[in-house]
Amino acid sequence: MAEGRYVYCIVESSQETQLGNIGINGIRVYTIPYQDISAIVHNCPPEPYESEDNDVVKNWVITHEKVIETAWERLGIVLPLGFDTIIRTGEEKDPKKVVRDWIKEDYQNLKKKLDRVRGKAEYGVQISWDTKIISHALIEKDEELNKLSEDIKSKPKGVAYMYRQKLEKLIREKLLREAENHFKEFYGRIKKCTEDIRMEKIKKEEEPRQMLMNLSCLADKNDAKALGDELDKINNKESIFVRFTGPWPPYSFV
Amino acid sequence: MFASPDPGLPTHLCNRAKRQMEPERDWKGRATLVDLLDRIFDKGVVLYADVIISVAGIPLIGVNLRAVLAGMETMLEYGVMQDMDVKTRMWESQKSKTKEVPLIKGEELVLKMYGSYHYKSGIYNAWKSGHIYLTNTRLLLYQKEFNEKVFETPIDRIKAITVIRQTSFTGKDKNIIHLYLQGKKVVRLSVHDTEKFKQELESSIEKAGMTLDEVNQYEEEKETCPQCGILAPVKELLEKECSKCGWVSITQKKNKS
Amino acid sequence: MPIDINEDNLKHGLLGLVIALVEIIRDALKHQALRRMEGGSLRDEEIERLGTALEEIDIAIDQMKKEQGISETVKSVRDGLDGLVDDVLDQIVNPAKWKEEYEKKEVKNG
Repeated sequence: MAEGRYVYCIVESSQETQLGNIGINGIRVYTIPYQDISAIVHNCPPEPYESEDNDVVKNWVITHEKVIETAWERLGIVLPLGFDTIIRTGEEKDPKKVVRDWIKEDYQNLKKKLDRVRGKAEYGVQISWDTKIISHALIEKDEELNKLSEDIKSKPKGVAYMYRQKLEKLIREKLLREAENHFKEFYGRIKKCTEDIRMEKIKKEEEPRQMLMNLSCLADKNDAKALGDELDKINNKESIFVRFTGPWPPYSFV
Repeated sequence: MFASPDPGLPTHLCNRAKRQMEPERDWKGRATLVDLLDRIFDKGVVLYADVIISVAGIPLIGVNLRAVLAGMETMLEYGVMQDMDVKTRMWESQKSKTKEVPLIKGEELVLKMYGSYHYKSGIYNAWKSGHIYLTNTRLLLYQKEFNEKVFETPIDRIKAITVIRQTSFTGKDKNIIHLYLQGKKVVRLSVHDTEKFKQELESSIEKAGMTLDEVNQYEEEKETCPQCGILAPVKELLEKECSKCGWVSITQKKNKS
Repeated sequence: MPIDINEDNLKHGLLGLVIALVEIIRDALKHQALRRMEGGSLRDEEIERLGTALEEIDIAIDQMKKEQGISETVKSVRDGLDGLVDDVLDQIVNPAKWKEEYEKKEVKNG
């Protein structure tokens, strides 16, 4: 018995619509409306989808995303839900009612959120730098570092080692200050091109690459070009690398 | 479509200045799948990241590395093993409550004083410190930190009071209050101000309409010898020696030498 | 972070963990050595001995990692541990704090 309803997203629609067999494992996806908003669902057992096989999960996740994108295209705004959001309908005579009640309970909040993301999309911006290149540049430019670097060459082995430690420490401190300056500058410039920004966790990268910022930006789809232009300018800076992804359904802004 | 620069590429290939930056959504790229995963899975959750060391698939040791790595100050601040010991967590939450002893309606507090109660259970014995509360109806010792009443008795069950001078293992002399309760129970207390406590207690008992007996008849009460465990009259144990094993109290040792 | 030691990777798993911790202690020693040197309480000859000894430790650790083939393991243990420490202490790269400071300044500038 299909005692669960897997929810992909919330859309603005008052119609009961069939979206076809586009769901996970090729299952039928359709809408359950409550007043002017609907949930996009498929019927399933009341347990989360789990698998040890990474490829299986990968396909599920991509399917989940594709359903949301289809809904986005066809119906305009979406509030995407995370993977494996399942409502238990149990032995209810009218499972649709369970879903409708779920929407009803949060109706005002959902409406507000839909308004907020109307016509907008999420864009991912990750900015990194090459610490090796920057370090070399710093040593060249900075007198103190330069001198220390020169001194090392003439010292006995043990002392040279200790001096190298000192140099590395000074470079780290300078790098940190530089990182802070870059962050504030870039953040400011990106903020001007976007509605809203969420900070995500910095991801570890292969040395000497280091990530300075990982942002999820909410921006009007029409503003994507302006954002891209600004990111271009940033990317053109020496040893700065920008990764720009999107448009995503606004996962991070619901 | 602007392709994202590979981390391994040499610098000059990464700065394709002329190409305009467009957002990348290419399902073939592994990088984009990672981006999707980042969004699609519960974003707020911080994975429980302490190290669990398993051998042959069986978890054996959980190491709270936060405590180990973050250094002494942080250890002291966060508490070692904080996440691992439920009791400790409960203890901590109790501690933050700092309750006062709830008095019954109509009950009056006569005296509050710092003191200890001698607790004995089998071979375990110890002095438990806390606050002694004397009210018009009862006497109790309360530990704020554990929100626990270590000892409590209605005052009308106190039959006799005496004070015995004892030398503790630290070499210090202490006045130990012995309370003989109804039902042949002996309670040992050590309080901050022995004289005052005795006076107030006696006064409260009198006010309650009870009279205190002479201690003698109670002193035939037996106590267990700390060394061999045999039951012997209290007076004999404390003022002479254990007839069975020859255990002598510290007070006696002092007096003898 | 699970570290599972089984028949296949007994050496790897356990050794990887051990060497990761050794490296962390070594880093702490380096840090302290540097502080003492900067503090000016060491004679030249002591600095020389200290530096030489620390360098030899570096070489020994690198050699061990190569011989045992555990460099990757050690790196992933340390990366995992970095994440843990970040939870407790400020990250070295601290964007959240920087964002706050940026926004405070923006408010000030109007």
